[in-house]
Amino acid sequence: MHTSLLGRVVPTVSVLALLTAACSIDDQGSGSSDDGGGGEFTVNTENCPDPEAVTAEIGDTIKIGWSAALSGPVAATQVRVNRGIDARLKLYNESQKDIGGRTIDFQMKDDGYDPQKAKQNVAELIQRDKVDILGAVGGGQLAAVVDDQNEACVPLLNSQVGSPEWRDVELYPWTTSYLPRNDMELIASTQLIENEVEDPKVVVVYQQTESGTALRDAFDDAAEGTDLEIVDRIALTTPSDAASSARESGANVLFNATIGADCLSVPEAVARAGFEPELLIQPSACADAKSIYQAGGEAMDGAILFAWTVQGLDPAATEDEDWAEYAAAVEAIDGDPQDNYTILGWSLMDIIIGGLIEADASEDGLTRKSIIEVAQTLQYEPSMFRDGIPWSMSPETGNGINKLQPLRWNAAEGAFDPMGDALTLEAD
Amino acid sequence: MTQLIERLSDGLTNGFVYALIALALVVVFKASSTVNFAQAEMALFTTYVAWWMTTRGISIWLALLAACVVGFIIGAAIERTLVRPAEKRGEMPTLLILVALFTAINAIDGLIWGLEYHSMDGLFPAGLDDYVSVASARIYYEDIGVWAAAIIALAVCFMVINKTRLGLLMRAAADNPASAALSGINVGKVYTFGWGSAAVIGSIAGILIAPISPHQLSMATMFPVLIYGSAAAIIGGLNSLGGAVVGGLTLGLAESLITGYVGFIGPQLHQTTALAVMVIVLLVRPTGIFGSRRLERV
Amino acid sequence: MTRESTLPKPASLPAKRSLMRPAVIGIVAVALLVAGGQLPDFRVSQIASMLIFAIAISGLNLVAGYGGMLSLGHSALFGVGGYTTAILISEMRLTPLSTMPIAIALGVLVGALMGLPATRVKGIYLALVTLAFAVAFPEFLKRFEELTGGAGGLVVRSVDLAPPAWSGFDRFERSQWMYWLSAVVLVLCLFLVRNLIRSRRGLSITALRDNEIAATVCGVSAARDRISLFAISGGITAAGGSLYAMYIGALSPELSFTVFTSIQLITGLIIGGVATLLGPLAGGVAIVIIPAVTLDLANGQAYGLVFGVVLIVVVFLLPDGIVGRLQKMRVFTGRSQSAAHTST
Repeated sequence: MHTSLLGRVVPTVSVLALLTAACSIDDQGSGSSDDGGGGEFTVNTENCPDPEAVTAEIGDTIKIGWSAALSGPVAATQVRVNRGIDARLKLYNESQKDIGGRTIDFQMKDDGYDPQKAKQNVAELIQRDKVDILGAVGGGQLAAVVDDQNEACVPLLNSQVGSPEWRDVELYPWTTSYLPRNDMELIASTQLIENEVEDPKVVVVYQQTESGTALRDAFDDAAEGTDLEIVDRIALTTPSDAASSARESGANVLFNATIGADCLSVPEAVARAGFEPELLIQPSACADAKSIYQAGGEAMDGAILFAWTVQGLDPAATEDEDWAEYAAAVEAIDGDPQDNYTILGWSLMDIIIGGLIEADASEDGLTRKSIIEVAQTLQYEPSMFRDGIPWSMSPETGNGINKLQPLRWNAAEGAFDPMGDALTLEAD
Repeated sequence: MTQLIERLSDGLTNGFVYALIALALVVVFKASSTVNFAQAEMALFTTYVAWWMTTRGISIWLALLAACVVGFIIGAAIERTLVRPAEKRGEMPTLLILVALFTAINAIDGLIWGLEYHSMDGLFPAGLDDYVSVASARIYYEDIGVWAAAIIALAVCFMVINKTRLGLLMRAAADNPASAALSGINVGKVYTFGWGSAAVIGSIAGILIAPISPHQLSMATMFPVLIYGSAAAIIGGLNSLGGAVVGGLTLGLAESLITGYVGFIGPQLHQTTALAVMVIVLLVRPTGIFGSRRLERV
Repeated sequence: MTRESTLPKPASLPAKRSLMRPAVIGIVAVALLVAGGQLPDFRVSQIASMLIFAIAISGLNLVAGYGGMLSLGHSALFGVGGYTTAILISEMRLTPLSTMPIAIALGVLVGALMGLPATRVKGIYLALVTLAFAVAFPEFLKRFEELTGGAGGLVVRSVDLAPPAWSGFDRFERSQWMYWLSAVVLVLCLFLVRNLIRSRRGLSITALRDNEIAATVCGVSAARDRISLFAISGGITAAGGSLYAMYIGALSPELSFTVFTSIQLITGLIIGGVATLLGPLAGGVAIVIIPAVTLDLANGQAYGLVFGVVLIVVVFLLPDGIVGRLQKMRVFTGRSQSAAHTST
C-alpha cells in the first residue's frame, strides 16, 4: 500500500537467483538462462506446436481470454471478482498503457461451470482468437483445460484455484495460480490455533463440494504432527444440523471448510446452536466483509479470516492514493469498492499487468515465453495488498501469496482487528 | 436429548415447507394430472419479488401479500397459455413445458436480480436471543413462526377446498371433468384458479424458507425444496391433499433424523434417502400411500 | 433382429431401394465426416462433443422416444460410463478403448436397475423415479470418494488419453481421434437402435407405448420389454459417457452429471425429433450450439432462458422435432413415414 503505481516492480533478482539455483528446477530448460527481470525460470519450447510463435514479440494488442462461470451456482462470487478485473483493465487501457503502449484486449467467455464448455472455450481462445494469455476459474474447469493449454504453450496466468494440484512447474510450466495454496494456508491456520488455544480440539465442517473437501483434506494434512486433535469432520447438509453436531463434538475450535453462502450460514448456525468455540476459522476465500461478516451481525463476532488484501471496511486502509485510484476505477464501472471480492479481482489483474511490464522490459521483449518466465518468478507489490505482503511467485511452490494476515471480526466495531503479525506460509 | 429436540425442530420446519410445496403440487395435479416441475422456481420468482420490495422499504408482510398476488397471476397465466394447450398434445409434452419453465424461470431470476446471494428478512424475529429453551435445546421463534404460518396456510387451503362453493367446484372438476362440465361448471376456469392457488401456496413456502435457507436467497434456494416437495407429494399420493401434508412432515423429520443418526447413509446421501423412500413407496403402491388409482380405458 | 423379413416392418420400404438408400446415406455420411475433419482443430473437437452427446441422446431416445417413458435419469447412465472409463484408466492403467466394453456393461446393468420400477410405475411417477437416479448419482460419487475422487472429481492426464498407435494419430491429434472414434461409435449405436426398433421386440415396445393394455392382451410382456429397453438404452448412453471421459479428461459430480445434464439431453432429443433415428444427431448439435451462441449474452443467464424458450417453441410449433419434421415433409412426396409421434 505504498509507493505510486509506477515502479512497483521490485527487482529482487539476486534473491531469486539464489532461490532457483538452490532448487534447480530449470533442468528441463532448453539452454540459455537470461539474466533480465525474468529471473531464472526458463521454459522449454521445443515441444510447442509452433515454437516460433512462442518467442515472437507481441504486437500492439495483448489478447487475454478467460473462461469463467458467469452463470451457474458459483457465478455469484465471480461476477464480483470480475468487476475488479474490469476496473483494473479499464484503468490500464484508458490512462496507463505502460506495457510498451500496448492495449489489452480482454474477453471472458462463460463456461456456466461446465468443464466441457470450459474446454471448448479455451480451444477457441487458443486457436480462433489466438490469445496471448489465458485464464480460468475453478479446479474442475482448470482440470479440463490445463493439459490442452500447456501443450499449446499459451500462458494461463493467475487461475483462481486454491489447490496445490496445478502448480508443479515440471508438469504445468505454462500455468500459474493466484489464490494462496490451501495446504500452506492451513498450515498457518493450525499454527495460529496452536498459539491461541490451549489443548485445541478442532471440529471441521466441510461443504460437500470440490473446494470443501479439498480444504478438509488439506486441514487434515496440516494438523498432522501438531498438538491439534481433530475431533470430528462433519459433512454439511443443513447448517443447523452441522452446528449442533459440532457443538456435541466437544471441540473448542471450529474450522469452516466452505466457500460461498456457507461462509455466512455456518457461523450463523453455530451461534444459534449456542456453540461458542474459542476460535472460529474461516478459509481465506470467505473474504468479503460486507456480505459475510457485516451481514452476519453478532453471530460473526470473533470469526477469523486470513487476508492478503486490504479490507474495504478498514478506514485506515481506505485513505491513501492507491485506494483513491482503485475506488475511482471501480465506481466508474458501477461497482462497490468495499466489496472484497472486487479487491481480489483488481489485484489479480494488477499482478498480471505488473508481470507484463516486466516481461516487456526483458531482453526477449514481450513474448509468450517471456510472459510465463516472468510470471513464474514475479516479485511485485500489488497496490491493494496489505503492507508487508508482496506478491512473490516461486516456481518451487507455485505460490505467490506467501504471507497472510489473521484478522478477527469485531462485530461491535463492524471491522476486522488484526491478530499479531502476518504469518509466513510454508510448504510441508 | 438436546440435539434430538433440535433435529426434530429442524425437521418440522423443513417438513412444513415441503408440505406446502407438496400441497401446491397436489392442487396442480388435481387440475392437470401432471407434476409441476416449475412449482418451486415459480415460488423462487415471487420470493425475489418480495425481497425486492423489502429492499424498497416495504414491510415484509405487505411484500408477502404482493408476492401471493403476483404468484396467482403467473400461475393462472401459465396454466391458461402454456399448460392447457400442451395437455392436448399429451402427458410428455406437458412435462416438457414444465421442465422448460423450470430452466427458463430460474434464468429470468438471474437476469433480473443478478447472481449474488441476498440475505432476506423473515416474517419473524430472528435475533440470536429470540428463542425458547426446551430441555436446553433452543427453539427459535423463527421456526415456531414457520410452523404456525404453514399450519394457518394449510388450514385455509383445506377450508377453501372442503367447505366453500369454490372448493366444491374444484373437487367436482378434478374428480370428473366431463360431468362437471355437463352440470354447468366452467372446468377450464376452475383449473386456472387451481394453478393460481398453487402458486400462492408456493409463494408462501418460498418466503418462509428463503430467510433460513443455507443458500439464502439465490438461484439455488428452491431446487432442494422441489426435490423433497415432489418426493413428499408422491409418497402421500399425488391426488391426496392430506397425503401431501403427511408426506412433507414425514420426509422433513426423517431427513433430519436419518442424516443425523444413521451413520452409513450419512450426510452425503441426503437427497438420495428422500428419493429412495419415494421409490420404495411407489413400488409398493404405484400411486402413493393415500393416492387413489385412476381407471384406464383401452 | 435376424428374422426381420418375416415380420411386418413399421417402415417397410420397397426391396430395390433397401440396398440403394443405405449406400447413398453411407457415402454422404462419410463425405460429410471427411469434410468435417478438415475444419480447424477446435471445430473438430466441438463436433466430436456433438457426436458424443448424440450417442447419449440416442440411448435416451430408446426409452423416451420409442418407449414413451420420460427419463430424467440418463445423466446417471452417462456418468456411469464416464466414471467407469476414468477410474479404469487412471487407477487400473487400462487403455481408453479397452474400458469402453466395461463402461457399456455397467451402463446396461444400471439401466436395467432403472427399468425395474418401470414395470410397475408409469408416466409422471416413473419420471420421478428416474429423477431419483439423477439426484442419487452425484451423491453416491461423494459418498464413495476413495473410488471416485468425491466432490473433487477425477482427472485423467492427456498423456493417458493419447490415441492408440494403430490409429495413425499422434498425441497432438486427439481431437481428430475423438472425432472419428465418436463418429464410428455413433454409427454403431444408430445401427443398433434401427435394428432393434424394426425387430419384433421393437414392435412390442412401440405397441406398449401406444396402448399398454391392448399390447399386453396381445401377449406382449411389458415387464421384460421395458427392462431390456432401459438396459440397452443404459449401455448406449454409457458409451457416450465413456467417450465424454476420454474427450474431457476431467470428471466432477457436480459439473457434468447432475439432473441438469438430463434436462439437456431431453431438450436435445425433443429438438432433434423424438422417436426418429437421426433426431439424436440433430439434438447433439443443438445442445452444443445453443450454449455456444448464448452463453456470452446478458450475464450468462440468457443461456437457461433460451434453452427453456426453445423447448417450449419446439413442443408447440415443431412437435416432431427437426428430423421428424423433415420426415413428415416427405409424406407429401408419397413415401411412407417411419417415425411415430410422441406418446399420446
